[in-house]
Amino acid sequence: MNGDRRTKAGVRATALWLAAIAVAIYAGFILLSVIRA
Amino acid sequence: MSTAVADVGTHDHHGPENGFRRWLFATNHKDIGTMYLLFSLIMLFVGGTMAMVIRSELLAPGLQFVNPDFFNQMTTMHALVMIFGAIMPAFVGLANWMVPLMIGAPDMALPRMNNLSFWILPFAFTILLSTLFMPGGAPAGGWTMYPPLVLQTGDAFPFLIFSIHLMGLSSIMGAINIIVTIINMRAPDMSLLKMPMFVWSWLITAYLLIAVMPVLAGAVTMLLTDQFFGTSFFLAAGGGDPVMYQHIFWFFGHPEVYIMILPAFGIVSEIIPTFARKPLFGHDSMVYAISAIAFLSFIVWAHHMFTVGMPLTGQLFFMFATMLIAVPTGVKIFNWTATMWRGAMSFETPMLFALAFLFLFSIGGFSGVMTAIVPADIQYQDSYFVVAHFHYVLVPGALFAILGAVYYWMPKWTGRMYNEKLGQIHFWLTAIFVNVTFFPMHFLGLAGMPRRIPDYATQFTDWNFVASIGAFGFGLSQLLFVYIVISCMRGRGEAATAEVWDHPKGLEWTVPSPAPFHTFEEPPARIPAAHTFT
Repeated sequence: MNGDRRTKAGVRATALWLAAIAVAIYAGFILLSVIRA
Repeated sequence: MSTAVADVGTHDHHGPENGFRRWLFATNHKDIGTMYLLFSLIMLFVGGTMAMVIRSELLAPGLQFVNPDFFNQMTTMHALVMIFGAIMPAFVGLANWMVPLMIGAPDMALPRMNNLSFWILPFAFTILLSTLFMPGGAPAGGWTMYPPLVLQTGDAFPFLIFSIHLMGLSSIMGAINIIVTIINMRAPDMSLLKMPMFVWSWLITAYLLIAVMPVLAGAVTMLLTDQFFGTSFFLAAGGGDPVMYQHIFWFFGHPEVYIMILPAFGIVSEIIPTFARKPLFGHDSMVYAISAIAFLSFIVWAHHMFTVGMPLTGQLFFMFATMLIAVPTGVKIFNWTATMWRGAMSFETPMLFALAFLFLFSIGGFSGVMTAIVPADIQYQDSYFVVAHFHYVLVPGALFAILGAVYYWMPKWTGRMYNEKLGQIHFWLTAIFVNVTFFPMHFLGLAGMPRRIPDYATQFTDWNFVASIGAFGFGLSQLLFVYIVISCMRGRGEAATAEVWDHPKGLEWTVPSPAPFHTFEEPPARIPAAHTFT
């Protein structure tokens, strides 16, 4: 049930995953450009 | 069971704080939504004023009001302000207000981060707009910030980069908040495919934002290091590649176009069923169509740069991939039309904006398919045809959907009905002037008028005059919109009922109008049958 996921831990886990993906994309694109340059 | 929202606000049952503290320390999704919407309205007029400067200069051939460098500053700043300051924050404001109400959540999942996401924006735009007063003026190399041209920017350059970083940070945090809210805080009865289409469109948009805003941030970081730290990512003299910047930028830039249009699709999918008095035709296929468009948006970026040179296979790939987008978009246009088929239609202001969206956004879509054709695009590149194309997508596309959404949901926000007669007048003035402004630009572009120039050959005089008159009319018409909004906010007009319209679908219509400060503190156990979508 969706309602069971309204926990602080669930919210934090989803948010941290998404933030980590954003940081990885940022760093990944710069790293790829460094390798290419 | 603890909830994220309840943990943040153990002081749940009080009302809003008084004075500026209510807004500065706001964690309530409705207050933050209101601030986003008002901020974007202000930015619409700031960017609109820049558009008026551009159209005044282009009213007649020759230089009349501004020097060419300032003209270039205006085109660059107009785009940055409208994209990052007006259109995107308006959609985020609508998401803040409506997503929790539509999914039966008490607030956004991360209310304090929500506050930060908003309050970053005024600082970012103060920094960006302050560059107008710096030595060398504001950025003038175009909103795409192509090197090496952008590296000639004066003192404004680091401020431009910093403000872009701040805008990106705000967007990413906003997107994280929206995804976390939708994933974790839906009403127990609301499975993913039972979600309203506006929520679906925002869920997908938020994923796009998280995927591409870091790419823009990476690109501008590399511009910064090229300028100040001796790197040569994009500098040919140091072994770098300026075309690589264009690839990276448009890998962000094309999904960005869909970030500005997918929420508009969601809004139109809410408005049309209400005023056709029929359920949305093909609810699930709309979800799949939006998902398909989002996927395709990642593999078409190089159609923005056919003229820089690329292998034939590359040209063909990007051409066909781009044309493929017409398929899911066609599914959506078909579904909206089928929703209206044999519906008991009425034509209140939100519906008029939604219908105009359907016709006029399609024009922008068709000219998009035209520019996707490589040999034709080599002719269209950097001409006013492209300016006509993207303004048809962004003004009667994105902006009309936002205006329609404001008319549609404003009674829920303020508890007052807007003046329908004035709303209709606003619609017709806006719809007529938008075409007077942008349709002639197709002719100018096909006749060879280049974009981003303050002066032009006399053969382009007549249609430029028409476009400028249209732009002034369009700008003035929006003052009427401001009057209508302020009237509602000040409590004028008829009191709105909870449902506002004739039996609309969706949980937002089950709460009173105006929506109380706290809603759905207890999630609705069952979604009433009258308010389900499928």
